[in-house]
Amino acid sequence: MRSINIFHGGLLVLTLTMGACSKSFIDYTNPQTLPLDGTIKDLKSLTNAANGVYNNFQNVDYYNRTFTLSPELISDNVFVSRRNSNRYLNHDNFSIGNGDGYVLGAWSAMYDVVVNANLAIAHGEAVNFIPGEEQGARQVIGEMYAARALALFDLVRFFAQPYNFTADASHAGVPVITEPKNEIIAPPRETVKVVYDQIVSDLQKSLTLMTAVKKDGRFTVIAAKALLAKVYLYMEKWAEAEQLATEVIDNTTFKLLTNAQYVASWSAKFSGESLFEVANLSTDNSGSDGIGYFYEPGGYGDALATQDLYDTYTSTDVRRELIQAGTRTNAENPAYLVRKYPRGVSTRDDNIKVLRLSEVFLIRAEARAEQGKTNTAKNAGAQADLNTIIQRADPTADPVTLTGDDLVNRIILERRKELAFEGNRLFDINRKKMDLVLIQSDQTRTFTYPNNRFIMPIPFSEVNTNPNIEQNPAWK
Amino acid sequence: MRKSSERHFRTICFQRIVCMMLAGTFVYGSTSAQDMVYAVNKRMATDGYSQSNKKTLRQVLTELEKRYKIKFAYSDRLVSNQYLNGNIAHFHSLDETLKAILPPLGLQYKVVKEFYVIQPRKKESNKDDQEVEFPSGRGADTAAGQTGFTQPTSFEVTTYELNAPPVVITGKVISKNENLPLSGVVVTIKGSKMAVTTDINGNYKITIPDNDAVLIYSHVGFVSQEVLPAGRKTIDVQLEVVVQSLTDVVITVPYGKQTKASYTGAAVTVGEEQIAARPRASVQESLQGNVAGLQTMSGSGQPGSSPNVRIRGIGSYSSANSPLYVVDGIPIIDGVVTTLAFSSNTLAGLNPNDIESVTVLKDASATSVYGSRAANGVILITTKSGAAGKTKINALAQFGVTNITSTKRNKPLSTAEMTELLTEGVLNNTALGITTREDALQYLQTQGLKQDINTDWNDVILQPGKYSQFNVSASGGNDKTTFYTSLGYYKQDAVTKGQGFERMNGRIRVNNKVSNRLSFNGGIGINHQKLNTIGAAGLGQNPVRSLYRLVPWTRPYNEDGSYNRLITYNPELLRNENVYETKIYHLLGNIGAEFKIIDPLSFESKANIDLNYSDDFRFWSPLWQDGAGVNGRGANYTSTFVNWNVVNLLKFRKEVAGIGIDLTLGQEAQKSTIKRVSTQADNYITGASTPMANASTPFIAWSTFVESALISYFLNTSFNYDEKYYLNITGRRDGSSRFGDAYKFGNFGSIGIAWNIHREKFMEGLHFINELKLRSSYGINGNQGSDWYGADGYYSAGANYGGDPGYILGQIQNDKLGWERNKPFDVGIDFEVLNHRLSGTVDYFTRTTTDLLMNMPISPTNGPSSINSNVGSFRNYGVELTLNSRNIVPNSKNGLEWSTSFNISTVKNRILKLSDDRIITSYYYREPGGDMYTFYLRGYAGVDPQTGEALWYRNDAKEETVTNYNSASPYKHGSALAKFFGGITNTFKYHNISLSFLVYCNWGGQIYDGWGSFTQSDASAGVSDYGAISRMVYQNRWQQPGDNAIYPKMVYRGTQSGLSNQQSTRFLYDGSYIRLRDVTLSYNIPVKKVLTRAQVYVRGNNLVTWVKDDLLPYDPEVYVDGLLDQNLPTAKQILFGVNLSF
Repeated sequence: MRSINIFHGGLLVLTLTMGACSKSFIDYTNPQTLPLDGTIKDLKSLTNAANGVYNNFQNVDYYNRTFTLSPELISDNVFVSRRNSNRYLNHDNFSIGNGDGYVLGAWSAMYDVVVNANLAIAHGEAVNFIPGEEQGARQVIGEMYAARALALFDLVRFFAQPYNFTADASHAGVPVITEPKNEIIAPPRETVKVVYDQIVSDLQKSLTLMTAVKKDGRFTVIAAKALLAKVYLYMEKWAEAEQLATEVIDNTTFKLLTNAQYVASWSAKFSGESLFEVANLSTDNSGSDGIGYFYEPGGYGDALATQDLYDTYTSTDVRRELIQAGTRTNAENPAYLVRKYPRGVSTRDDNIKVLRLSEVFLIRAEARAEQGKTNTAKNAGAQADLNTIIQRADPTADPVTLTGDDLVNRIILERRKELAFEGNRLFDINRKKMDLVLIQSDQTRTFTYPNNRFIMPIPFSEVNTNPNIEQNPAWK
Repeated sequence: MRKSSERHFRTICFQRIVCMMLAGTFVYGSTSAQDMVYAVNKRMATDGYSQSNKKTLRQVLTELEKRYKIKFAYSDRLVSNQYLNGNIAHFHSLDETLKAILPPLGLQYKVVKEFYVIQPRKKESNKDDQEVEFPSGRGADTAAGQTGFTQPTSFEVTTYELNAPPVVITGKVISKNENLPLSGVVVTIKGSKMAVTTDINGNYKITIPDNDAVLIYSHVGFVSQEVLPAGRKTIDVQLEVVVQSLTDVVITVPYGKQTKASYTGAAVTVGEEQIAARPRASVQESLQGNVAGLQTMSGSGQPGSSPNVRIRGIGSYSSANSPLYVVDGIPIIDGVVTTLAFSSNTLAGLNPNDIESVTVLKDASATSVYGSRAANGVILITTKSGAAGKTKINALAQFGVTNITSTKRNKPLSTAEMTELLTEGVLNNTALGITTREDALQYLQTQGLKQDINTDWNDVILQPGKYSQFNVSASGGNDKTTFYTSLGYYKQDAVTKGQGFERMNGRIRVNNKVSNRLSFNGGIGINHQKLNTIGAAGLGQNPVRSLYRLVPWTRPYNEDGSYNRLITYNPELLRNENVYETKIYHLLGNIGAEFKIIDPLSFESKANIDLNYSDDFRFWSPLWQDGAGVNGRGANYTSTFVNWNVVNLLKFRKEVAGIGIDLTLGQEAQKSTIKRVSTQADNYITGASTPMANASTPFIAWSTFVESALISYFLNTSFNYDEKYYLNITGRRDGSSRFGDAYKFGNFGSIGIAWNIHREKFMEGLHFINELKLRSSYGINGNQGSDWYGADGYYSAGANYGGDPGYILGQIQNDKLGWERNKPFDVGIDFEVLNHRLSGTVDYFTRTTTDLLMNMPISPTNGPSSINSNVGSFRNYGVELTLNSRNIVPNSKNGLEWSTSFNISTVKNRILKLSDDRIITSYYYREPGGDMYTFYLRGYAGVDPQTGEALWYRNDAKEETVTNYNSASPYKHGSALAKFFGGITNTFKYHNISLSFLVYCNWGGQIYDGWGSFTQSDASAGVSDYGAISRMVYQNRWQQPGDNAIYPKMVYRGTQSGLSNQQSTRFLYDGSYIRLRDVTLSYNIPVKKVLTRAQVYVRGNNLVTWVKDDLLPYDPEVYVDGLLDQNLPTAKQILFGVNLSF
């Protein structure tokens, strides 16, 4: 009978669905994900984990924009044009609130580096690598220690007063997390001293593990030493800073670019003096959110160099070519257009140069000059290092023969000129206990040192979820 | 006359047959008591079986009428002298009984509306005499139409034995409101069983014994009418529609249908008259104001966008807060299926003109059968299906125009007005050292102000949008197969240029009865939506953002006619040169079978598929900055949503000793998958069109895939005693793939009771009460949340570096993550009083959600800054009242008629428990005792009258004000949730004209403009292109000492007030509003030939809006979160329409 057959058909549907109701029918894992345990098991998977850590440096609120831009905006180097896309106005006018999205983004991205580096280190150290991979694995794990050190260094620079703010660096730093946790954490802030000790320890550990000297876009022995030199400089451990800087400078893999190479190097990747840079591809998706788009006149072009900065360069200084005197249509005239990130509109893949050999020269110059205040023998070396950078940029420039505070101040000026738009200015002002001259499109204001607003607020999202954390005084 | 002679001939033939059949009267008896089938037993009859149990057929029919609460219609002659043996208590069902007893008597029955009409059985012997064929259905209509003979749809009889001379009366029955012919109206003679029914054109003919006989005209859904012929030969009758009678209203319920009287839950049915032919793309929008307890919030005026729909408040914190939509038994994917068109809506693909009814199930009884997915209520959508009979064709055409609702309050400032503000700002900025207006003006000109340009961005960006809709449907069928099919087209421009919505639909639905035991049904609906959505909310491309922010001294075109490319997001360039196109292809199909295994058991099986394919295409022109660097970029995103579902039901229905038992055992499995693909390519051939074949550089290639599944088993049991007392118990077990291993399965259930008080004896004296029903229900539902892999801890792929693959910590594991539980309680009364003039429903409900699923914020030092958790519980509670009243009932055919339907609801939300003392996310502060959408902001304290500086309260004590924004602490303010909402619809009819209008009210919620600090920048933005200042500031600003102003002084590039991060209650508004929503003025053109109905009308939507807050610059309708988000404002439409039926 026809109807009975159809009834059987119905039963078939029933049977099929009952069959579908086994447990596997409701058991799926996300195909875009990997399990936390067991994923890191060899050099290749460890390298993938390390890629994830480096990827966090590309965050638009970390090196790809905010952290590279903001320390320049909150200073005398850069301001936001009065014709703008509404971005970073509160950074430009010194009125950052604790709900600031850029600041939260930076905080989160920096801790993403820490958390992911912790996972890579902990899981990587637990793997028994096959002999052929041991060396490579040590290098990658070393890179992770260095990456964590850089993130902690950036956190403590951005969110805490500098090391020398109190005599024993006992003022509030940032939370330090060194291993993966199996629970939700709400860590308190450590003192700045504890944070710096961790940074130094991480970098020293990385130096015991790494062997690579050149590895584009990644940490190497040289990059870690340069970073450690910079860390010691911020800690005012002048001798150690000098020592590490010397080790970097003495290495022959990296050499200062020539005057002729200098300008072009900013549109290229991995130049001969670039010790560590965050590598970007067009597909890394910062796109119009990248720092280049923010500076380039064909992009938002919102950020302009101050005339004050422009005027520090002589007309024969090759570095002035990176600032184009022109106009901003319907707004500033003259306008000083920043061309240090020239791929910002076209391919939108400017690498971010985090550590360059020229800075290492200036680190050693400063370390020697500071020592020169009591040990005059150091002055010649300081002057030589400084002049190396000055005359590389402008071969016609007279050599500097200053000493003492004058020499140090001249070195800080040279840092301003050499490292402009690279995210160092605010930190140099604060650690050198200088007053901050805030230059905007139409006004200039001076804020005296010490100042609670030279550092960022702990983001509201952190304060809201972490009862153990202390807010910075300006936002209490 | 040919007509009457044929009729006469038929009558004679009929008589002859009846006599022939009566000659062969049989006697029937029952088989043994154990035999549940009351079969014809010829053997016993011929054996001379005892006739002690003998009953007349008439007696039996009367018993059946009582038992089954039905009515028979028959000729006396047919039933007299017919005898039966046996006890009808042994019958299984009415159907079985009648099939057992009638055929052997040469009779058959047919259900004509509410009557079981007994008629002579069709005989093979009639084959030779086609003219004599008894109409047993509408299958004969075609032949009748050809001969021009009006044939009755049912039988008619005459009773010649009566003494008085019979009188033949003819006439036509039409519906009072629409003047449409009513077929199938049963015309009976009072006190007699004689009956005829009207034909397809409403005509009838009946022979009455004498002029004192009273004729009764009855029809389902209409008020019965008694008429004394008083000598008339022609009696035309108009029947009036019964306004919502509990007993008659059939509602769609999960996995079936039942009358409202028997239902223990809280449900509201909205008919097609509130849904069809509206200038709204999706059916959800038409529910606004029509259903107590249901809120529809269209935060965007983008045509075809997805509104927030909340039934009895917010049930969950997570985004899984929408009700379950079930279309013809298929739980479908609702909301966004596209990658870029954030506001798209699958339900906008469903043609509202194809919808027969929408039933909103609000409480536990209603929803627990859908278990895991029904925590937020269920919206059952039933599409139209055909009815046996003449094929009906309906056609609809509408044309209209769409405009923005409020323009006065936010009309952009002119250059002169902006100049006035900025000049003041320069003078107020003492650091600039400028003291005269002339100097200030000159300074502003050096800064970029151009006084000779005055662009009204309203003209550039807004438009009166065009609207049109066409629809045609055909339905019909015969006894075995019925069908409904339709085609529709809908097009609506947005109020902003370059944005709009277009839809094409096709739909077919077929039901087939294979045999008395087996039937099939199936349907397929296919639609195509096309949307142009340039961008919304904070996106730079958003034209609404540009409208609110672009200064008037910029302009879209340079003097030479080229685009002004200095404006970052030039709206003219964006809409002309770039492409923002989204296409959605949707297929919804189902096939089902019903099989009566053996009475009272039946089996139903249904398999459904819901396919959505979306295709977003974006093109960034080389003329625009995002495309300039790469010489044009194309981006194509596709998403494929496949959702299938299989349901098997075993049903048991039986009545034992007055207790009706209804059991459904069910099993269901559902699986959903989503695949997304994204590709981009750069470097286009100059001047080429936009497909990526014209690009040379592949840029991005990417795809993802996710899947989720659910299995369920359930038992739904209903009992009733004497149709007075009802008990409904359901139990369900669901397993979801979205939870940790130990928490995958959840048990849910509900209990519901109802008492039809008006059926009680003690109510008999209370004639003014027509219906009265008390009901209550409680249950537990589950919600599986919106995260498909919420419990796992994992690395997320895609964190690549330097072209090498990489991963990062994506989510922290929470293997305790489990079902969110929703516990609705409801008690309600349904009533109908005063001769059906007033009816209504009152409900009190609570809805407690425990184990709330929330993406709880955690310290960003953990990496991910949130974790999926079950964080606590909250409760929604409120009262709903619905009233339907016929205020003026006409006493003549064309008299004035006035009816009103009204509903109002309150919903309050209260947090009971949270895992943290408080959870603060974005603008909201959540703590036990508070509600889920309590705003948490710094308190704006107005302006210092002397200095004109903005003031904020230091804290919630409001004792001290500060001029430094950062010195003020945020504190709690009002809630975004409305205190009450409701709608009132008035309908007037007079002659062929009718007028109806709906007034909707949403009262008491706060709304917040998160972008307010940009549009009320107090000149702090200087001359920036996007520094336009709101008209509200212009009108209410501080100007000189002593001003008690609402907004502070202008300070050119000032920082004291107006900075973009200064979120405060300055931008918090009262969101209360009343809206004249749906106005229709229609005229029924009297038609006779070809057409059965022709209606023309003018309809307006959102015509007038009254906003309580005088400072609110925008339309107050927002999503449930209460945020004004630079979305397209709600539009108002006026349209002209024609409906034709053939």
